[in-house]
Amino acid sequence: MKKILSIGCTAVLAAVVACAGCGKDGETADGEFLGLKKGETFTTDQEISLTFTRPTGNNAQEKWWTDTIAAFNEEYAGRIKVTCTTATRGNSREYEQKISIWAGSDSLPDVLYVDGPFVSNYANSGVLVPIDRYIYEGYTDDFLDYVNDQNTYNGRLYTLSIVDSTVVLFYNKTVLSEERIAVPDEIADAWTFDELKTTATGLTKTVGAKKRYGLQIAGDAGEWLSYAFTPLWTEGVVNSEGKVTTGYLNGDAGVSAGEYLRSLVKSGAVYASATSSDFSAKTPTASMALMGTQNISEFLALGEDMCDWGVTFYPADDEGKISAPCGGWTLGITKNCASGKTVAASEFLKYCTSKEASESCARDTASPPSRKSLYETMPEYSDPNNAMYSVYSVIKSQILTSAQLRPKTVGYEVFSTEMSNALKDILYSTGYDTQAQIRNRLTTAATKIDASIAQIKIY
Amino acid sequence: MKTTSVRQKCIDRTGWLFMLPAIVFGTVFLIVPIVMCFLYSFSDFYMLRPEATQTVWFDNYVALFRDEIFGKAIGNTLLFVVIVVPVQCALALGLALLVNRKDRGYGIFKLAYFAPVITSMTVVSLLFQLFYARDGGVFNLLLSAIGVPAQGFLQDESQAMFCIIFMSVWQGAGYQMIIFLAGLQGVPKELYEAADIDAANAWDKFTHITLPSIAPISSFVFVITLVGAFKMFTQSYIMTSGGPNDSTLTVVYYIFQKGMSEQLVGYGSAISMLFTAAFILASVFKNLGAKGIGAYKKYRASVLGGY
Repeated sequence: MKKILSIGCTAVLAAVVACAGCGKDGETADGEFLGLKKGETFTTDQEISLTFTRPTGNNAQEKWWTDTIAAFNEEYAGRIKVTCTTATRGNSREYEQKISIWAGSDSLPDVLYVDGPFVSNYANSGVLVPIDRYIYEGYTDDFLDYVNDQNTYNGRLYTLSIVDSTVVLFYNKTVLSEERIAVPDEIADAWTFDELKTTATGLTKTVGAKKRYGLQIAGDAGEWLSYAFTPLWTEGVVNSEGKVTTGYLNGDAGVSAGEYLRSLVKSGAVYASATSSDFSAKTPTASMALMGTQNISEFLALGEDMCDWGVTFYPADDEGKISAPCGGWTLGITKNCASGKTVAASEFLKYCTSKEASESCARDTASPPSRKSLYETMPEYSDPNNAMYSVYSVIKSQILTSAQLRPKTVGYEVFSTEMSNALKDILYSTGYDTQAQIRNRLTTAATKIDASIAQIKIY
Repeated sequence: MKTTSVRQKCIDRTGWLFMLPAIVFGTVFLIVPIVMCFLYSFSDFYMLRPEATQTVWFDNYVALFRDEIFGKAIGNTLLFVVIVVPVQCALALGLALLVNRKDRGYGIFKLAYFAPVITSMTVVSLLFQLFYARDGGVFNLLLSAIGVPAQGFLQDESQAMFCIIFMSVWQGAGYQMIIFLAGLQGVPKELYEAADIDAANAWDKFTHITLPSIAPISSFVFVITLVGAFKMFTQSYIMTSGGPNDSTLTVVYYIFQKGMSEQLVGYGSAISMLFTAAFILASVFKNLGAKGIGAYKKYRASVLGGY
């Protein structure tokens, strides 16, 4: 009897929400709000189970997620239970390929953690559903504007972010001090790309029997080069609709960017096959490293084994303007989340992206928070006496004044892969010494990207 | 009569039971995927939104014939096949002839030549990636020792495919060698003894006894090497990601790119079907060729009276 009663209650609850939603993704009469208002408590007669999948992170990220989900399940005991599974991120888009397979086999989890630039693609294809009718008005006001922009597609909100990331220039304090090189500590004084090249070349020398490079720019195979250097395309890499790259990627700015990057590598100052440990070692292989802020937690974990390191700004263009690559991972609800569970899923999203959760994640994983207010309240970002202030104040200035999102396009997968491949060729392969050769390579990449985007239906 | 019938039925049933696993696995993992792939090739199946799939008939095939990258992938694959198949088969035969002795100590050579085969292609690819590195790679260190400037190898559009070919031949030849070796050990010794009496030299013995005797095995080795070469994927995926500038992009890698990375299952299926059709055609030509050669030999034998 009790079982029948509980099933009945669940059915009624599901029916109420489903009737309000009238569709799998909660589509209903225009603008009708379906979530919980500010201050309202989530209630249910029967515990709702949610599945959540995210990529496997580093130790700090894993610990934060484990603690946060345990805390959520405890706070919502008897009402919502989140079961988290992880999937390998991989070095060449293995995680995104898994998402494709789940979407193709109708086995997506209820909640998914996705990389920011994929929001457009997943929103267009219906993998993620809009959540703006479940998130009360004003909730996203505290989030960084570009983060909200990243999480929005066609004017509708699809995801919420906990923390963000950006690319900064890490440097070995000991080496730069020995070489009497002063590092800019104000964003207005940031090195230009040409100054970066000059400094890196000057730092490159043989120490003992080993060559010490001035700079390392290596990253993962999938998208690093496109992520790190897209800002060099000062006229943009894709048109405003996110569908055409020909004329942008292979435009004059692109050719200049290619020439600059090739000359940087040809100068001998760049360690082509570096890993983060080549920078972090006390006797480093590279004195500076252009890397993402996600490396900070690994450096902190090294403790005594880590070199004396610092951070300065992403290089500026010739006019002194910085456009720093930004954008991070973000949480969304998938099409497989039954309409009866969407409110519960949105509660989970709000819990993970709350001010408290964002602060703890930013602190524990050494990532820049996605909320504006935290840059004023977290001591790391606001108190000059804090041990990490010298690092985080640079990141704060960069994020608040110079953030540039990765391109918003439904074809980000092919865009980033092809652009990275083209850059890899231009930087390291033979036969790209003239402007024409560089333009041809970029044109090949642009043609492939455009052809692939043209094959994706815009729904 | 009745007893025989029951026994026969029992034998039939046992036979079917023995065949059942092969039928089930063959159907589930071979027939069904091929049929599905065939059907998908006429659709715009996009993996992220399968519910919106529509039939587009021959649009994917038409698009393929205009796809320059597909043309490049075919060219790269053919280059790989045309070099790898004869070189690998010849090398395997050479190695088999070398180790086809019962003298003490030759076993170690069999093991040495076969060792790369049991090493994962992924591991081998990663190792050779390091060997081919411009800075500090083994091959460039060896070249610099004899005064040759450092080569781009995998970073050079004109060298990358040949680097992969070299590695593939080295890695795969041991497998074919073992098959050739089995064939060589089946050649009757009397034939060689008779040839010795006739004062035949080593080359004559090889061309008139060894090669004809292992012809059926050679044909098998040729076919498996050909099929393996056409399916080349791992090396390009691990070592070059199809680059530089698509110079190592093969057809199978392009299927993977389109079908998995770009989620365009319909388009990827169309490439797969064309590839399958090419294989079927190649098999038909191979069989026709074999029949033609057989008929010619028969005719020649009848004309020459058995000589």
